[in-house]
Amino acid sequence: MNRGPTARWGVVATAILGAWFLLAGWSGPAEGKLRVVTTTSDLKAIAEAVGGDRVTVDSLLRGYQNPHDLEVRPSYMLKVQRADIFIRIGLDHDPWADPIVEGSRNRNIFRGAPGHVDVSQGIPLLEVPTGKIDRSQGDIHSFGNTHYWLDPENAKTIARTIATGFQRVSPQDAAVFSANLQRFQGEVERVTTRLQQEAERLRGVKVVTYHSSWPYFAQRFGLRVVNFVEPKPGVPASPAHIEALIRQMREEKVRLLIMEPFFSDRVPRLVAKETGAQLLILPPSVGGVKGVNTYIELLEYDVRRIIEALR
Amino acid sequence: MATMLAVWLLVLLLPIVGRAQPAPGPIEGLRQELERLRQQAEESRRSYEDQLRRLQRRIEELEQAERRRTDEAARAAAPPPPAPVPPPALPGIRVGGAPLLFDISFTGDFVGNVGNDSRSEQRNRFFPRELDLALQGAVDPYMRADVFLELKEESKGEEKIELDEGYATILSLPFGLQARLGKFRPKFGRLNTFHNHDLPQTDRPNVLKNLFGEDGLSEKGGALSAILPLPFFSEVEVATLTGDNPESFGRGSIRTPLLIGHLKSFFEIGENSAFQIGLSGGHGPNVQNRRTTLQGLDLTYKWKPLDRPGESLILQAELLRSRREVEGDRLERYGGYFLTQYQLSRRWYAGFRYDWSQLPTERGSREQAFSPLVTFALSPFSQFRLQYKLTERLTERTFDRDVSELFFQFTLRLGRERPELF
Ligand SMILES: [Zn+2]
Repeated sequence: MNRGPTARWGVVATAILGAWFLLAGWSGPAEGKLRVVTTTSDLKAIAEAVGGDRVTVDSLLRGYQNPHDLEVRPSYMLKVQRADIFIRIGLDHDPWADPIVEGSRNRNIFRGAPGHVDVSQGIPLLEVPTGKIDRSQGDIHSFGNTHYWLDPENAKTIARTIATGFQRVSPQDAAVFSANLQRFQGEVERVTTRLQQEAERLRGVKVVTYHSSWPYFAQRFGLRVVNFVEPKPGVPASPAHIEALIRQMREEKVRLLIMEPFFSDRVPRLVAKETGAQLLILPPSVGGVKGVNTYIELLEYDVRRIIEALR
Repeated sequence: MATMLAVWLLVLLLPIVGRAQPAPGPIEGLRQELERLRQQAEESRRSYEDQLRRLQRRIEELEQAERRRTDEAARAAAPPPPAPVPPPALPGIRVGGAPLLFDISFTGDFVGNVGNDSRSEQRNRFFPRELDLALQGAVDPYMRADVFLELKEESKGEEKIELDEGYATILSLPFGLQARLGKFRPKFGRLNTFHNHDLPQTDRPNVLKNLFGEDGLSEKGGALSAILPLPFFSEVEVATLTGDNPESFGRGSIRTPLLIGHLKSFFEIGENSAFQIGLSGGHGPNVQNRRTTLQGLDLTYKWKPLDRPGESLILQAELLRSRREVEGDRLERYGGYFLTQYQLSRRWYAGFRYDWSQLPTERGSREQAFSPLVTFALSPFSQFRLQYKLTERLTERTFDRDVSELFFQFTLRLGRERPELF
């Protein structure tokens, strides 16, 4: 019998597929908990607060990573492959999630499936572009600013959307999720009121930030963001822009320059040195620095660091 | 569930148990029976009352909780938020405010070159190598489509339009399989799925050009892929294709299809770097209706430190073997490349490639090339590149003189193309 290379290939392919069919049936140990994957660490923190002991949560992004500049690794597909729920910031904040979700072949979490939760629903957006939208305004934030989780009021809305998603997929635990949601919302409410009192002196204080990560936070705690190191979201600074920024900061006596931990501090250091402003590296996300592991801790950390910096 | 079962069992078994009691005497028995029934009735009345009380309490509790919740919501809503802007339900570009149901992007790739390569038809010219229109989106909840239409100038002033890729992906099939159907770039090695404008260098490595032509391998057919159930990411794709590619195959018949298989595994090395290894195989009839078999190994290492933004490093290599049966002979040829790209800052990249390749149809021939280059990315959507390439070619007939080429490349992108993995 003359078995050509085609036959050999056929045997190899059949063997691989056969092994795959056998292994695909095995779906790992069932823990009885909802398997949740979020795009960001903030959503992970809120999902953990709402889900309590009924969920296990994993986040694709770490808090010290730039969500707009992510190296999308195929290994993320493994993380979402067996997820029951996928939670994302939505808009154009995490577009990299789509190839991951689709590549995972997990239809429970495809766009439109009950397990796909987009928490931008019901969020009043800031910086919504008007008129013609094109890249001359930069690459990102094309629907409006997507860093909305930094307003505690929005965090409450996010938590409600997540709880609704959990209840949809796991109705038997609905009461637990409602109770956890109430507890989380109450705690955010209390902490925000307290922090707003502490931050009374921040009212009207002018700041410059690197990226436009802070408008929601600034609005809630009374800061005034007057300019950015990036001329447009996601666009690196040109020398002309830096020069104009330094001039503006001197004229308006801006004392504080806030930078997210995932940017290069070369330009901000220069600007701070030239203007005498203080450079404050502040995490916009849970896990951005050590010890900030919950949403409440993030709020407290950020507000207190700014108060200290202006003392 | 267990309680329900117990209740049902009780209901079913009670009459049997009742009947099993022996009757002592007719009247006495009846009296005892009556007494027992009275007691039973009394007991069930008490238990019903208990249950009713419990239910009433529960309803009151729930009503209270509901009131608390509505109060909470009312309080939360107390400072009226600015009118919420409903986010568009579907991703897509907006034209006149109405969201389109798919993404459109356009990529322009212009190449200028100065050199003495007598084999190149586009020597000493500046020309649009690829003007690429991409349409990408969901067809329905089960399928997505990716279409890349290209206009390109192949030789002096001759432009032609070509479908580079146009395929549907069926996202989720039984057993975790995914399928592609249409014209697409099968996964083979590392760079084959890259369009020309996405290459880390201006030109495709020599070995790939020798085996698949300037644009790489894009074929018509179907492919099945699966993620293997392993603790690290491993994906296998098997494709059955028409096999039109004239360089290595070219029979172009589905009765004797071109089969391509690719297995890749991806390993994270901490948070800053990752490594990928791929094995490829291809087997199909060539223009002489004899067999060509290809084997490939690809290795990619990427380093992108989180704490040093704007810095990254890529090391990449591919090795290929081609075995081609021709009229009364068999040609076994090898080739490979090694490339590196170092990102110096947010905008500047430096790179180098070394090529070594035997020509697949000429015995005793080989070439090697050295290509240093720099890339300046004004933004993620426009970039300029300068590349020098020195090629030494040795053929059986002559010792070709060295070829020097200088490439200038300008690439721009309009609109949003789907982000690619790794
Ligand atoms: Zn942003």
